Amino acid sequence: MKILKIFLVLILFSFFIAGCKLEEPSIKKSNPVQLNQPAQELFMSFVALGNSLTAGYQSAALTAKYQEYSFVKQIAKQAGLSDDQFTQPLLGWPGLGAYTEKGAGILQFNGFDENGNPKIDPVPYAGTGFDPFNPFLNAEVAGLGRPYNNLGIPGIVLADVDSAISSAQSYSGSGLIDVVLRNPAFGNTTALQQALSLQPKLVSLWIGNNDVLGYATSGGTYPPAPTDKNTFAYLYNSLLQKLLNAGTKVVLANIPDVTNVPFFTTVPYMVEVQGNNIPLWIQATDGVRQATAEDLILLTAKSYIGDVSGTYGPADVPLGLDKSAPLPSAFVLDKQEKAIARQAVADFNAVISDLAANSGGKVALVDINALLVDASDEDGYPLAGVTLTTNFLSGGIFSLDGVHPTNLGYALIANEFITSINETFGANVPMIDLLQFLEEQQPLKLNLQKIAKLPNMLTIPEIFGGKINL
Amino acid sequence: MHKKLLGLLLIVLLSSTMVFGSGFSIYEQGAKSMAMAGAFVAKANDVSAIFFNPAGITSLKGWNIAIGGTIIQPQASFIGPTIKDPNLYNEAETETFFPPHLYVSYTFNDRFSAGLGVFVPFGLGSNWGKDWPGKYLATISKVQTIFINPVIAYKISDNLSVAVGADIAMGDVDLEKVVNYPVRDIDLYSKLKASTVGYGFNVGIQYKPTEKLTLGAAYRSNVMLKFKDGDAQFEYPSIDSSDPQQQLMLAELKYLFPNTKGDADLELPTFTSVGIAYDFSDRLTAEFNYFVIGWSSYDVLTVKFKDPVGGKTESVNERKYENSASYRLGMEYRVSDNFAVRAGYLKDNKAVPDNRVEPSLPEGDRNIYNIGFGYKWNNLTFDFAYMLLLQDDRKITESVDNFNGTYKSLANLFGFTLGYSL
Repeated sequence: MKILKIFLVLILFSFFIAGCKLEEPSIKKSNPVQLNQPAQELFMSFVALGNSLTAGYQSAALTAKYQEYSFVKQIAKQAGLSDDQFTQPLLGWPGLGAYTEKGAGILQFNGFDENGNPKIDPVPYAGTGFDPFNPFLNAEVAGLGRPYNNLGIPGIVLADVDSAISSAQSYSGSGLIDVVLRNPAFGNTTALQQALSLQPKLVSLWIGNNDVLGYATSGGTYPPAPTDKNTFAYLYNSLLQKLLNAGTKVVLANIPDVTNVPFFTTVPYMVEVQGNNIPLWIQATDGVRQATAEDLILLTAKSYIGDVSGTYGPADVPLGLDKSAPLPSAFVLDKQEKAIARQAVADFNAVISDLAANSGGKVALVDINALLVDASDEDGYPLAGVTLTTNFLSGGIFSLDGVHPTNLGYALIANEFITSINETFGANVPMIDLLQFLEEQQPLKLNLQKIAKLPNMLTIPEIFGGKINL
Repeated sequence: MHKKLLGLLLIVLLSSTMVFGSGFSIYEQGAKSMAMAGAFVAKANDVSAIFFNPAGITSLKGWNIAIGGTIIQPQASFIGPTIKDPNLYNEAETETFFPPHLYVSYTFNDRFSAGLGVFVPFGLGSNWGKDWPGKYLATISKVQTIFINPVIAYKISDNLSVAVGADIAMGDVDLEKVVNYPVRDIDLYSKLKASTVGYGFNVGIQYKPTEKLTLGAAYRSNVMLKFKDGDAQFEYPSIDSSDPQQQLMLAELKYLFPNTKGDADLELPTFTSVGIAYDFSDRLTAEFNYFVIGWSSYDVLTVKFKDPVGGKTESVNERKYENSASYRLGMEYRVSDNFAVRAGYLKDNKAVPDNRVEPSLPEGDRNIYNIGFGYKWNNLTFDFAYMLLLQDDRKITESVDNFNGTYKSLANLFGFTLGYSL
């Protein structure tokens, strides 16, 4: 029996001494980043030039609530710049945009209708107190005595940056030129001139999208062709040289391929009619024909397919479903038009990357096209168990207009910019914590101690007519 | 004294089961073999042979019964993810698991023996808490399989035995994590729970070319676990019930993420082992085993839902596990007729490729050290083993989930087996 007692003691002893522990590290999280010298210098004066993507346009409008998440504002925030150090032309709610002429602002998602389709409608100006002729968030923003740091202007093309002084005197005719540049008060200066007057140390330049998107989003109708590639190369080079000659560093981004943008990829080319999938009839470059997988039906076509009002074709013939009522060209980027748009993107991107490569380290390049190519494959953009995709509505990257990013999409873009700025210029701007970002954006918080109960589950299917289409 | 020990064992037996191994296999199914790093397929000279190599039971006499278990205390931590903070330290909750084992065998005559084993060869458990940076991958994960394994063994000649058995495997899975509804960026808590029964077989062979040399080999087949009608449940964010907008959101969530049923197939891997044992003297025996787990069977985990969840009727998780080999070396030194000391070392290799490692199973290459002893008292034997499992730090840089960082893990294991023969 004695030996058993010894064993028992040995066993118990081994629990205590042999119970090895995992060593805890001395550092359990990173300390806040102190900006290094290169980063401090770059962000002494940070200015952004570009179009809607730089302005922070989202869900078909520009409005302060979402301008706060423009990718350049997010970069500025990461670099520690205050609202005064990085100013934006903040607009009131519901903002200026695609529906302004119809008396409405930003698109809103209002759940699903009785057919299970998402309800997406612009917020009307009526009742909001919004004045499209004085759209600014407040008098302070409107009366800022110097140009805005964010000079991104929705709708402008490359040629406008160095030439447009007003909507009337511009290539694109974008109404927002007047809002952002505030001429003649600012001496009829261009976006480039206003940028240089701020003596920038770092300029973000993401431009050229509309030189092909205008063509593509109008189904190849208006303008009838993308900007000529030689013209593009000449304008881009001259714009970049003017910036570099002023002694600033520049960060450029290239242009996403239209085939990775949900505006072009959401509406299928076939519709289900009595259980059969039938290709839509379209007005294509090569005449009226049925669509194939090679043709892209634009998001704008969605609410007109099957329309029998006669506005777009003969009355009482459902639009797109009969040879006599093809979808108008403006709703379709057909195979040939798609090839033209893709070629233009490839040409423009070649120009941009060549210029960046030959800049002697003064230019950083951001490959946004590659980011979206990655996100549009079947694995999407993985984020620690959340998968972001380029799908419309459910993908998390693109907003309700199908062209412009969401807050999170802009955060992804900001991180790409920060990576490139850090790598090229030796800066150490901290990346955005995307998981934290996701958490902060949530309108409803999951609280496991307090779980939601609906009083009557039976009413739920009726709300959506028994289905939701994602 | 015996009663107290038995009482202790029973208490732990009643507590919950489970853990992690290479992949999520558990090879610690008897304290004697465990003390020798599981190098037991050749010698297989106690009733736990039912698990390791059932041909070994032909060397036993009369009735043999053993009951025991392994206390497993794994610790795991993760530093990262780099997309959040490369230095962020996350510690999994330390849990104690207790896979039990029970063996009975009877030798009818010089030729025939039969036996029955009950053990838990697969399991995993990890609990990172419900709110941590990896919550969209895993919060609480539990997998458990209880095998019931009747075997018959036949002694063809004095130095050659063979055996065959059937496996009845009862599997339970319980997987929890947070899912995100991207349309509105709202989190939900998801729970999948399922259990099922699957079948397989095992075979073994033992050969003694000389008095001192023993060779052994054993194989345990795949077991297909077809989980049917498992419960998929969601917990929703609480809302302000006076806010119609929030009411609508909740209704939408409940519609898109209904509590529903799900089916999934999980194919458990094969076990293949070969070994050689040699008696250097009357007192000293050494054994070497080469052991392979056929983890490549775990390629993809597809859960099919009865009602669409988040608009999808199935969730596909690629696992892409690879076969994992271990090298096991064990020794026994018999100090006296009724007391033996044992030691072993094993090198265990990872089953999960680098880019597929995720927090529900933080495994990797391991160096494992074992010591133990056995004591015999009339018809009673008591075996004890201690195992220290040191896992190499595993730095992941190319995670398919974009969840990169460093996994650290170790485990303390204590094995007890009480045997009785008559």
